[in-house]
Amino acid sequence: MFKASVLLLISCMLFLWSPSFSHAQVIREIILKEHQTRLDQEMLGIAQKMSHECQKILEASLDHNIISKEELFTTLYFPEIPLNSPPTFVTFYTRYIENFIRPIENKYLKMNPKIVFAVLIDANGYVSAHNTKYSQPRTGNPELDLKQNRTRRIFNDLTGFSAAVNKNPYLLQIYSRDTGEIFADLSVPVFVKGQHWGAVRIGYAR
Amino acid sequence: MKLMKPKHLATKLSFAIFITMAIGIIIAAVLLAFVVSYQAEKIILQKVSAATQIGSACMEASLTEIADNGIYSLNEIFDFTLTKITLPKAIQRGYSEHHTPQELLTIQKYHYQTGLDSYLDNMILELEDQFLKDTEILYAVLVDKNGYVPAHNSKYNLMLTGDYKKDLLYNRTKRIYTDPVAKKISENTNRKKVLKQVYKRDTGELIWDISYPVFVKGRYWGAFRMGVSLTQLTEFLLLISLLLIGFMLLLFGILVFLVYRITKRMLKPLVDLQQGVTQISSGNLSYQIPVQSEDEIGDVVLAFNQMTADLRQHIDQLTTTTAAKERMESELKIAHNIQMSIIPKLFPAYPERPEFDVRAILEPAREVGGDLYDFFFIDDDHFCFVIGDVSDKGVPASLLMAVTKTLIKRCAKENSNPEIILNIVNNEIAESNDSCMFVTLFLGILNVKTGEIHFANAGHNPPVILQQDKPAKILELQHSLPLGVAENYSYPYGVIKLNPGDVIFLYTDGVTEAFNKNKDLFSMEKLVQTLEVLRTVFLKKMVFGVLDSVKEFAKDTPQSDDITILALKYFQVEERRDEPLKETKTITITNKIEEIAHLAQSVEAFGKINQFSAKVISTLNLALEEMVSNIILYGFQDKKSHPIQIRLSYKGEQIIIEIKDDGIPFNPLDIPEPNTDQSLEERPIGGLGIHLVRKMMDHMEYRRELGKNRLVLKINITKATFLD
Repeated sequence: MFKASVLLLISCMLFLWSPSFSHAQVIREIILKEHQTRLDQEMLGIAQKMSHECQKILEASLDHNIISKEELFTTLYFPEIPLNSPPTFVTFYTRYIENFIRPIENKYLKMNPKIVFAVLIDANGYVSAHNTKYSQPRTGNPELDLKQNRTRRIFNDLTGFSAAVNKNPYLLQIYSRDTGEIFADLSVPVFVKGQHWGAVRIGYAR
Repeated sequence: MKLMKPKHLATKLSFAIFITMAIGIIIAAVLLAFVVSYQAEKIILQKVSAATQIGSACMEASLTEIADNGIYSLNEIFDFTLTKITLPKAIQRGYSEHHTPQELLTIQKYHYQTGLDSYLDNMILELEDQFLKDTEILYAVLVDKNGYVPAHNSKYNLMLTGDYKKDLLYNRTKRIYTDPVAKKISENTNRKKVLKQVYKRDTGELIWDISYPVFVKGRYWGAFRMGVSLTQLTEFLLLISLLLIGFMLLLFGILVFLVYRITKRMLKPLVDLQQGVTQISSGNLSYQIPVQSEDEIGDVVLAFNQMTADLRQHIDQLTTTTAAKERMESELKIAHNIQMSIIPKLFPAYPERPEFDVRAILEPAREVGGDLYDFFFIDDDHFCFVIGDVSDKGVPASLLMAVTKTLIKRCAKENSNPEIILNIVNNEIAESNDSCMFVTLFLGILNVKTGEIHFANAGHNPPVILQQDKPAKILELQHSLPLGVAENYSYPYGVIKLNPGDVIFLYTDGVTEAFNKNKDLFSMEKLVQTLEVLRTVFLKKMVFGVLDSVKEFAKDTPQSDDITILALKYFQVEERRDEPLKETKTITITNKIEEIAHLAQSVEAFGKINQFSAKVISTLNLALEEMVSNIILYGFQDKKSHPIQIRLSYKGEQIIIEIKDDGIPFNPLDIPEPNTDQSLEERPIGGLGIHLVRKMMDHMEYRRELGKNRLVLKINITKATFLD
């Protein structure tokens, strides 16, 4: 029993210092308009288009009672059990988004080969349905799963959180990975019936 | 192994040990369980306290990081304003249909106005769940200062179902807890104090709630709270206790078994001893108990074996002695029977002799006595009687007594003089008297016709004479020596005359010297007095009367000497006195046929003296010839010489012939009448002569006495004349 408690203590300490715990692992920068490239402009067009398309579908769904307003605007997330690491959640509309939005996401992902991902996130950064490419079944291999299964997660690191809460027409952030690559993260907010719901978020190599 | 009845010592011992130990073990186990329980609880609480502190630190780090990253400002983090969450209608319907507003308030969920709770969902859930890896920990959550839980552990964060009870239990996130425990947690803002509270779940389970405050940038934000169930611990301790008891019992079971075996082994000599005692008590005295130990039990066994050996020896001796005694007793009994058979015991002894009556009795002190009495006819008129006392008692005395009796009888047949008889007997006894025994004896010969008694005395007690119309008197005798003391001793003798009705009473010193417990003697005087009283009664009564008074006198004192009494009463026989025999002749011949001629001469001589006619003489001769030749021819089976005694007497008008022989018993009167119808040839040989004699005689009489045939023939003179 005492041994168990020691193990627990050690695990807690490890957790405290583990890199996954820290959200400050990348260099982040917001790119203002005067620094945008042509690619950025092109991507912004795609993102706005995607945002618009998502908005239309969500509003139409509300109109046709495919989903209720309380369900669509909920901020309750229920962790999937057993708890994955990082944790994954479901909520009332998860299944709906998967069915209605994922095809749109996949469509925009293919529009430009530079696009790494194109997803719809809610106001807390929750990704109900990631691109199919990133929604592969879990294999049990943590490294592989981290790459292939990124759906149903809440991405609320500074970049993700900034994208989720942004109500300006767009937000372009760039950040460099420790591999040396530089990624751009472009988000355009989605309003449903005039109410801020979330954002369309496109990541592409710059 | 028999462990049922606590009968054996080993079982009893092991049982006692087992009971004592079992009680001890249980008490020890319970005590141990308590101590372990207390210690374990302490350890767990310490551990959980530490974990809570770590949890608190993690939460603090998380919140601080949020502030540092600028995701939320510090003000936003400390903005505890809550907004109600509106649930989808389907779920709300599920709650509202069955529950009161109060209950609905309990299940009400909130968000921070800032949305921090949703941010925390992703951030701290994994951390919080880490603490639940220890199954004792029921929950580990961050609460704010108002008791609001922004992100509960994943297992209390299940998808809402619309079932009130389920959701109340399994989706506890984003609710405000206002129970006393939660309130107390909110009140603890002391960094140094880990708050420990115990409360009871609705299941009755005891739960420890451990909490430690969380500070963000030095400001109190809330607390990290953990719940520990001690049920597992209790169960574990119970298991431990049971295992302990079980193991201990097993151990002590083995121990008790060993104790049983060891005790049994140690007690084996005792068991052997017990078995040995059983064997010995059942009579097996040759049983030797094996000695197996050198302790006290071994000593007991040795002593016991010694005792058994001694006992066996004693019993063997006793058996030998008893056997010898039994043999002796049996021999004594035989001797007694022999002794009693050689003295005449049949009374009245001579019913055909009206002249006198004789009575005698012998009471030996032991099985066989040294006293003797005897009486017999020497001839028709002389009756000999003897009383004597051998100087000892028992077997030797009885042997001497038998010898004496035989000697007297033999001598009396040859001599009719008492003193000479005693003289001869004395010489015989004294000659070979190596054992120095002697005999006092009184011998008398009564002439039944005259009543005269010729007597001789050898140191015996004087007889008492009871005469008609005279007081009883003791016969005065000269002093004399007993038989067997000195050879060729002349014994004093004398004559007394008994008148009809007189009694001579003889006795041995067993009568006069009988004593009672005061050592008083019966004495002569008392004997004479007794006889005076008894003088008128029958002789038989007199003898038994004296015996009874002697016994009455001695009472409980055991008889010390043989008691012998002989009494003789003489009667007057008138007619015989008037008609005495005119002539008597005794002829003795041997069993040779030539002797018959000699007999005929004697008969002729007898006839001439009595002036019988020739016819009478020839009749007598014929009868005698027939009977004697019969005896000579058929009476003896050996070739030896035997005497045949013929006594002829003439009395009144009657001739009496008495023939005595010691041949085989033969009663001529038993011969049946011959069948005269048959021809001479057909008749069986013999019998005719006897038949003839029967016809001739007026009276015939046969008796077998003292191993002799005695035939008496009587013929009246007139008839003999008639035959003539």
